[in-house]
Amino acid sequence: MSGMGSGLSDRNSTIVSAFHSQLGEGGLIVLAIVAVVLLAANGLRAYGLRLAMRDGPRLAPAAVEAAEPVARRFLRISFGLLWVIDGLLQLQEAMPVGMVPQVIKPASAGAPAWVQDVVNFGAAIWAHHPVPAAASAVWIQLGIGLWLLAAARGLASRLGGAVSVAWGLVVWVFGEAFGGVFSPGQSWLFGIPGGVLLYCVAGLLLAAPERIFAGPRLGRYLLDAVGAFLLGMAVVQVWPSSGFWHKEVASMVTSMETTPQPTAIRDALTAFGSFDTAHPFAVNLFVVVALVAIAVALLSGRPAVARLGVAAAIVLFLAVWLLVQDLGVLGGVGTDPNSMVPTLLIIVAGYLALVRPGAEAPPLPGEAVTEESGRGFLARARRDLVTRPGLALRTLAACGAAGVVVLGTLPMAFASLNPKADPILSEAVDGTPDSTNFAARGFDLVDQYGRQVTLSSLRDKVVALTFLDPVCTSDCPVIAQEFRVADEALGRAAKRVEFIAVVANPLYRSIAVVQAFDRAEGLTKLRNWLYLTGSVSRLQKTWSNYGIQVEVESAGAMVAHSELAYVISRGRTRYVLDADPGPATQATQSSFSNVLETSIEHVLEDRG
Amino acid sequence: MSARLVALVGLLGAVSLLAASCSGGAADTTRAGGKLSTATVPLTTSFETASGEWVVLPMGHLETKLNKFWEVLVKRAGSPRWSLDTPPGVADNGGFAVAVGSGSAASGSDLSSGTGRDADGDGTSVAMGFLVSNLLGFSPLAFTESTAKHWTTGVLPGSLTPLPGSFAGTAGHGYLALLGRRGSRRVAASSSGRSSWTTLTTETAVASSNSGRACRLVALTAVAVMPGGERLLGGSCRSGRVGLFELSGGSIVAAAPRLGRVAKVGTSVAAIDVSRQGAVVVVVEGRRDVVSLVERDGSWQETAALPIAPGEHLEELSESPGGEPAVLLAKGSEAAPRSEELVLLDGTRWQSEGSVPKGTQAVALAARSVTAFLVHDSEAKIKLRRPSGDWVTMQRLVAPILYGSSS
Repeated sequence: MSGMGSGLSDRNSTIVSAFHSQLGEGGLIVLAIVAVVLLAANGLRAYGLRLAMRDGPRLAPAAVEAAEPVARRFLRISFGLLWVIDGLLQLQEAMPVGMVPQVIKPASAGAPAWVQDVVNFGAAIWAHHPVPAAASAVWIQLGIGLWLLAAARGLASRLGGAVSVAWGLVVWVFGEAFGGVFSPGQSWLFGIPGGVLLYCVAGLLLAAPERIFAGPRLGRYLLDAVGAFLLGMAVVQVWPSSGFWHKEVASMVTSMETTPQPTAIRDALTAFGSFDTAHPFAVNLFVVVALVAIAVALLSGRPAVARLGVAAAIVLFLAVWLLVQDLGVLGGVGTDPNSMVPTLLIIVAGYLALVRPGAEAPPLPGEAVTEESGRGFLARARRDLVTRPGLALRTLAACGAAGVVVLGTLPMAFASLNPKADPILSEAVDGTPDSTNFAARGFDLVDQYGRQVTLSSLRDKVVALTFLDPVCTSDCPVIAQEFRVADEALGRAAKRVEFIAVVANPLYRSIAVVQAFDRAEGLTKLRNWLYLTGSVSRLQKTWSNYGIQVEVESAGAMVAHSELAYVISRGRTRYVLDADPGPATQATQSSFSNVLETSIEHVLEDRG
Repeated sequence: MSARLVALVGLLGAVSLLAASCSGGAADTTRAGGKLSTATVPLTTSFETASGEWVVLPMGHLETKLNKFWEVLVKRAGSPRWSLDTPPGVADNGGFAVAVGSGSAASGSDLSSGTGRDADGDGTSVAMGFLVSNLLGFSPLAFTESTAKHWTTGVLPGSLTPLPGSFAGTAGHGYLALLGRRGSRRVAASSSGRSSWTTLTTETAVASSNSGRACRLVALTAVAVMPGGERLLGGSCRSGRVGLFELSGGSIVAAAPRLGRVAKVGTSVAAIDVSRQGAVVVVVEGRRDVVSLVERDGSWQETAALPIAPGEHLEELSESPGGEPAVLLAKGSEAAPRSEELVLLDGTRWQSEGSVPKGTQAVALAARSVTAFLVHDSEAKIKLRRPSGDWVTMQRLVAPILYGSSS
């Protein structure tokens, strides 16, 4: 019935089932990739053994390879694991529908208009194609994580870092609304500059030539940068208009308490929230002092002092992660552990780069100068296969991980090119259209111009028929727009279709009213749009013939009526669609238009 | 200074600047003074006709837009009970602008807008213009000449401006409607109100007329049709003048004097009540004081100001049985009024009629009685004031509200 707004649950069984199905299909492809990688690894090993037996004595030994710098190894493994965790979090069944309203929209709420415009672009792609988008995010993030974990050195590893940066920027811009950097009232405590921006920083370091890890310089720069950032965040905390001296933190904690989570964590949040409410000034003072102290220690450039700063950062950041950010993943549809953990990882990596720098100018894989170096890539590959079989196998594994990233990227890329929302959304709200073939009952009404219209007078056209209350305030304008979009999408074929609405209000049924509706909804320009009305008795007969219940409600409510759409051809009803717009988002509207258009196209094909 | 230190200081400065510039979320962005805003005038109203008493008030979940429904309660002459007589067929979450006037095509004398009254039952017409809500793109109309027993329908060629004085007239003298949003408002007229509306003038045209320039018109806010058929427009002005104009033969003429008091932040016409005795124009100065201009036999008289202190707001703008404005003034915050006080214009002075029961949503004034309406969700508790000043509950009325029906 109109006006009884049915929403689209984030655990809608149709969507969840499709999501699981798509993940299953993707999983099969991943298994195939794994099988290919294993087969290739086996083949390479066998080939390597043959090469070793044949050419081994003639191959010059590779130069002694320096170990991967500790800081790089730490960054690569830790952020690889984070990407894997993020990928696993994307498996939540609420992700396809819940991502936009629960993650993307709140992240951009309050941001400047241009930020919201940018974010809305990405949100629209996800909302229009929720199942492929959610599945893509799983595979891309799992793939990147596995890629970083597998490829330790060389070009494959650096490419993994670059891909991490690219996807991280996508997530930072569209998923985190630039990490809240441009939103008012944000602070380090709440997650700026966005956890995923730190993934990008780590990715940049991994994508850079390995020699940047040589010497303590990188460590100093990293700690300086983090120290400066923390000082800036301390300024925000101090700034009077930011409100942190009063209770801004407590409000965030209070909101976090309401999310579903283990009792122990909720108790901790509640206790801290109460304390902060009672002593907001003291809490903020502590935060400011701690931030400044840690920043000064990191900026000192002295390993011993920096070590103290790192230790203090670990304690403070973990406390904030638990007590303010609620671990980032609890409740709702958490997609990553927020900013504290990645920031800590960057700090620790900086400290490791400072105190345990890589060797100066290490001979890097692929750069080792041997007597075969002038003989090209294949020769080097053969030599590496014999002398360093582990590198070849890791590179192969990285290729497999890259395949998983591609598995995620392609559907998302195709989805972003398709402006029409997937039919699954409409099916989730209304079910699939019923394909039928029974005689359509006639009607005898007048259109918005006062001309008589009967069903038989439209026999040379396919008729898309629905029932709309011209003074309805909720669903009917939405259905009218869905019809308009379907009409426009048909292109030239629309000439063979008549889109018709019959008035579904016994009180407001004059031609003036339907004309007002047409003007308000921009339907006057459509040449194949008819809005039919008539006497109450004729309308009631038409409603009855098409199973439309119409009830005049009291106490200021609109007229309630059934929401159905029919596709009729040559006097036969070919499709019956539930036309309830559900949550009436842009995506669900586009999806219904898509389904209606497809149904009409099927009937047009049958007519030849 | 080393290059590293210079870079560090630069980085720190940039981060701090960016951080500080992005941290102003709690800053107060509202701007007080200097810019005239149309005063917030309530849609809640009551009026008395020869055939009964009428109250238009919100019920349901008042804090949620789509679950707040505006209801019309009527007590017919001779009946001791109020009944629910909301015009059916349209979701009325946006509220109503009411045009009341005795004067079907055959008769015709009292005409008024907004809070006006009439002599229903005996040639009376009451017309309700639905203010748009949610996705509705134009305003339907509902008409009754049978004290709400039967309603007929009509439609406007646009959206009524959401102000209580945006609709006026009767079947006998034609209707005026103020349509559209601020900056693009227009005045439409129709003889029957059912259809065939034509645009008489626009906000831009009024603002660029000599009278509009003199008052420094900001927006049109009200319309009215005088007993002789003259069409009046009300507006917000930046100058001390009252924005009252007469549409005469295509020209726009100022119809009200400059306020004797110095209006510091401009004036806004909230309602134009027309009765046999003349016209009463309710004017709000800025967001505060309420002044009335009373027209009798062609001359205007300015009443004393009803000061509205900070923390007070108008909760109802009605008409007293004498044809003069009555105001329900709530004290305290809008979300939680501490008390409500009934204030009537008596001659040229505002007279307090005492407080009403806590939580009163609306007050109906009849010649010999005052009735208070207390709303809790779907139930209206109707209390009558005894001559002793006590309030006694005379009726509980439950509206069968369909929550969620407008979502």
